[in-house]
Amino acid sequence: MAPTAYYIALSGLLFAIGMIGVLTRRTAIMVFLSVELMLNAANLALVAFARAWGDLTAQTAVFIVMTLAAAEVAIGLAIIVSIFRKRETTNVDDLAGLKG
Amino acid sequence: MIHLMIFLPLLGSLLLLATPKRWRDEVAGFVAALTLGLGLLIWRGGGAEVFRVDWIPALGVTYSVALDGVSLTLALVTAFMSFIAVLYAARRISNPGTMLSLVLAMETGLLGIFAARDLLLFYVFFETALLPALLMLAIYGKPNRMRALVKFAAYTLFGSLLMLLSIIGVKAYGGSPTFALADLIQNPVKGAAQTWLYLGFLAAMAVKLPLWPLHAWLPDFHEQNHDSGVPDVMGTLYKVGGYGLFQFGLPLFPDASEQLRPILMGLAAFTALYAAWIAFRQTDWKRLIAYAGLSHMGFVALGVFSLNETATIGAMYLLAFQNVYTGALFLAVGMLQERVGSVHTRVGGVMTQAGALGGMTLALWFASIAVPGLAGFVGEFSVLLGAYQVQPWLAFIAGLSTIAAAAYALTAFQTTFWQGRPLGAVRVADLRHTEWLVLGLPLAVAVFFGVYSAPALNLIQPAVRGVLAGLGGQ
Amino acid sequence: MPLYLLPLFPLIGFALLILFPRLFPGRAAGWLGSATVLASFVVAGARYLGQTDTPAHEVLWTWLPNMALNANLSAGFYLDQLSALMALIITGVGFLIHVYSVSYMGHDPKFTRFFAFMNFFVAMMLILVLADSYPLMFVGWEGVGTASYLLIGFWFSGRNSEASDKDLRGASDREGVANSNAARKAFIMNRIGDLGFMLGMFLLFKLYGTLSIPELAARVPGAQVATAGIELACLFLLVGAIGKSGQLPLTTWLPDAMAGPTPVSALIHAATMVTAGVYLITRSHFLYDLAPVASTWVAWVGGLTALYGALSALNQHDIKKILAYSTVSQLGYMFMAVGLHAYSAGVFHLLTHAFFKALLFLSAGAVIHALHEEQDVRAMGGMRKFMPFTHIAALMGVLAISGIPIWSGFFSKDAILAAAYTSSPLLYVVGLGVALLTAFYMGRWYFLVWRGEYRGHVPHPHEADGLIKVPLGILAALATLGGFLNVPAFLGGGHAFDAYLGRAIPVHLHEIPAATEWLLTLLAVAAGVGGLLWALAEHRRRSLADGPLGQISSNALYLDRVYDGLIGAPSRAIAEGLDVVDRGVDGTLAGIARTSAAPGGLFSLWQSGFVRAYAVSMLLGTALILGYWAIKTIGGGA
Repeated sequence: MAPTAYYIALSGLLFAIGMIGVLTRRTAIMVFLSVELMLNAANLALVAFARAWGDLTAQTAVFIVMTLAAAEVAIGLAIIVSIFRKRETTNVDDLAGLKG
Repeated sequence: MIHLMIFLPLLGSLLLLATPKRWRDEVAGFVAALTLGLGLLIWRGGGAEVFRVDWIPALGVTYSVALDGVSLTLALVTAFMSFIAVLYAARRISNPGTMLSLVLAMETGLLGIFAARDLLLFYVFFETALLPALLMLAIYGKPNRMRALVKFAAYTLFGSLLMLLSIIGVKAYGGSPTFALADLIQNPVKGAAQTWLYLGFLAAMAVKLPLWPLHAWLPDFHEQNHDSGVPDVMGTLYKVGGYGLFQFGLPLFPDASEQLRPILMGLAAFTALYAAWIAFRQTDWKRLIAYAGLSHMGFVALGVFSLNETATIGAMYLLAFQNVYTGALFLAVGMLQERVGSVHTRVGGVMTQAGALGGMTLALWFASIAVPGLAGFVGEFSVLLGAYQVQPWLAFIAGLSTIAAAAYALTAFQTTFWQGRPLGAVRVADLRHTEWLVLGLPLAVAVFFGVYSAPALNLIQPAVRGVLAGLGGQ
Repeated sequence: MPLYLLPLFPLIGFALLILFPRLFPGRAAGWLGSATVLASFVVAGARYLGQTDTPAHEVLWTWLPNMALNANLSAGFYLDQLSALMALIITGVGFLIHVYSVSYMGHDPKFTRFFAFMNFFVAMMLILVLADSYPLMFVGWEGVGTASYLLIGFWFSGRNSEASDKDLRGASDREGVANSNAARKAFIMNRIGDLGFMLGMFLLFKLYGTLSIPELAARVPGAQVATAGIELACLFLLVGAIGKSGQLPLTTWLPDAMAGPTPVSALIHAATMVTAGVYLITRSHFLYDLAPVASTWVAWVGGLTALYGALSALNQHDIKKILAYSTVSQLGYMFMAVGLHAYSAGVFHLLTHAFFKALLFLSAGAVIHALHEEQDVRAMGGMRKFMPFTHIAALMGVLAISGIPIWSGFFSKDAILAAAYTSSPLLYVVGLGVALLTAFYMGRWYFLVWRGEYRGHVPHPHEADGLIKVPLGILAALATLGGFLNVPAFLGGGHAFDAYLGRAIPVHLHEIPAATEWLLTLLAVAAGVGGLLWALAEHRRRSLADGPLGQISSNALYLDRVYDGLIGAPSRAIAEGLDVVDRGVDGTLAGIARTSAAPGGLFSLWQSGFVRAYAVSMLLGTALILGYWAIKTIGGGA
């Protein structure tokens, strides 16, 4: 059985990749994918801890997060599509309508 | 029943969102009428006693409501005028769903204000009523509405904040277990703290009365609101400062109100005269009526601050019924605007073609400037008479505004409805369909309660006696 | 018959006519309006005949909070000799004028509305005189003011507001503005008086704790109250009376009120409403009897107003304005009488004045009608030939007002002058002088309108029709014979009127030797005859059109301009200034708002709108928090 630290390292790696993606990519879709990556990195960490402690609570949490993530994907994509229809772009830097 | 009456409009407001467009008018009208009917039933049943359950026990907040005496009168008037406003909005505004929904939502807030017997609950309803008012202004207002909106929100929220602080202060210093009015009266605040807390409470109420110099939001609010005058009716109903002072201010701060009496009466008398005088110069009907309403509020404040029984009864009478005729005047202006496309007071000759509109407007004006035999007189006369017993000179100053009132009301009326019609002016239609009801019902109420005041007096008089007896020696 | 029927009938008429005007085509509205007033007259007559020495007091329902003795004030009606008399005058003269109006207003497009307002007026006037408390009297008091406002402004857009002809329409617009202004002025000036009335009521309540008139009358003589308080209350009431009756200094609205239709001028601004001030003081006699200073003020206000009105009437050119100033002057006489506590003389003059002044106004109206709305006396003359009946009627009125023996004005004016002679010689001289001037300006009016050659523009003026003649005839008879109701003792009479009124109002009989009384009478008659002869002489010299005093009189002693400069203009300027200040208060607060909003601007820079910038700040924030915890944990562990 692989030590928990490996899982955590993988999780941290995924999270970092996702983070860099969010910070560097300009396409909304890519930003969105990166966010999903970060989310799943967190999931992985949770599952790893659950296994390490032998406690199923965290597993339950992961299931809830996954369902929520599915819903989030649906809504997020819908928003991106409707933004694209309206503005003909998904570049997040162009979508600066909330500037104070 | 009382809970149903308070929350029915809110339910109706939510229901409207789910109602198909073609039925919205009917549903809104039905809900408003039902609320009024419930109010009348409560009235016939002799009012609703205090109902009390804990709401947030940890903070000592209770849900205590009651409708009796003054609050029942005001609640009835509110339900009545909301009904009238719904009636007119349905006719005047195309696709009125949002407006109707906001009117009903605001009605719940207002009824809650009058029913609340818990200070924090009062505060909650106070803010609940504010949101629809802001939204109405924001959605339906005129081009400069943002300025008016910011001003209105800033004044009201600032006032509310002070009120919240003093509410908390009253509980903390008095040591009451809950925010319920009965408990707070049992545990009064003594000494200088009372004066300071009263000042905080007063600041909030002075904004909502309004009282000089915290009145500046009022003319802008009315000027920038929708032409139909429906939001103005609700705005007029929202001037609950006089009620708050009477129901909460006097019982909670008896010594302070005694102490500050001359200053506050002076401020009130000055407001009455100042507003009436400024109204004389206005050329925008809505601004004019706003100042006229401000002048009335000066009278209301004069009556409440005087702590004299007759004056306080008169103040509550005036507060209740000025809603009726001031609100109806706003709607009459809405009708005028629909016909001539302007709310300017220099149109001229409208009455040559719209005789009934002119006549009704004039009659409502007469009610507003307290011509005897109409409801405004009973209130104003009692206020002045009572105030004279306490401070003759201040009553005289406030009395001067009755002269100014005749000047501003008749001048504006004359230049709009009388005199020659400009050549080539559009043809003006007279009142149609529900417009007769919209102006006729308030006028009928104004006449009835001017001639036969007993039904309202029977409600107001015992309540005022009760409150003033609590002050001791007054 | 219950008293509330009196105002109820005209009120029903008003309600029907104003709510359902379409139900009354043609002249039906006029007949309905007249019928309701006639019904009230019948009730008033029945109550008069069935009257006893104890006043009738009928309470209806509670009305105002706490304003009676330890109770809520009720609305109720009170009938004693004084109010019975007033009710008879109002309904009687009112009915005649209604009938007259059916013909006079027959061609007006707003015929129905006219009668609605007239009925409203009669109802309010009846409430005024029958009220059992001051606040209820105030209802009628402001009610008649409201009716007067509506009727003065009856032609609020001018009479040709829809004309297509440009000149005609321009003239009509100007007329509309003038009419509207006159109506507003009347209402506002009345309001000034009303404030005085209200303050009087407040003070009375403070002194005696009630506003019900019978309760007050019972309490006042026994109560221990400082005289200064009563004096002040009486002065406050006097302000109210001054406003309603067009006395100095609130007199300028009354001549302007002639902008209304002529029957209105006859009923409201001559016979009834303007006498309400006299009624108020007479009704409050139990107060004025205790207030010598205030009473003197009343008398002098009356005397000066009588003089002012007479001087202003000398050189007017509008047929109705002459009569209007004459009304001001005659009202001054009545005030003089009640101020000298000669209530009976004042009320008697009120009665005869109602007859002859209504008669004069109605005949003036007939002339105006015949000449197609011409009102300038310089464009009249010789009307005797065209309108013989109206001429005789008008002549009766002129003789009555000039105080020529056997006509009613002779008896009533004589009683006032006698009262003035016993109390204040100076006032007597003023009164006698005014009598002379009165006879002169009425003579001038008569000769300019009826005698000489015709100077008008209408080719053949027509005599009035029957509906106009009947009221004129009845009023002429009353103006001629009304004086015999109160023949003084030295002329072999029995003071019948004084005795009747004396059952309700104390009559202070003055003790004057018969010889002196004869002398006074001769002097008064000499003044009247002299005035008429003076006018005749001027007429012969054809210099009557320009009366004495010239411009000063035409402009009514410039009182209007003084008021506008002294009060009107400054109030408008102050209103202007306050408005600017009010918007300024606004500006200041807006400035404070801006300043306090400035720190918010800093934060809004942060809201760049770039999602990635937000992500960076989230990252930094998270890093910061993590770093904090890390340092804390490490520090804690170490």
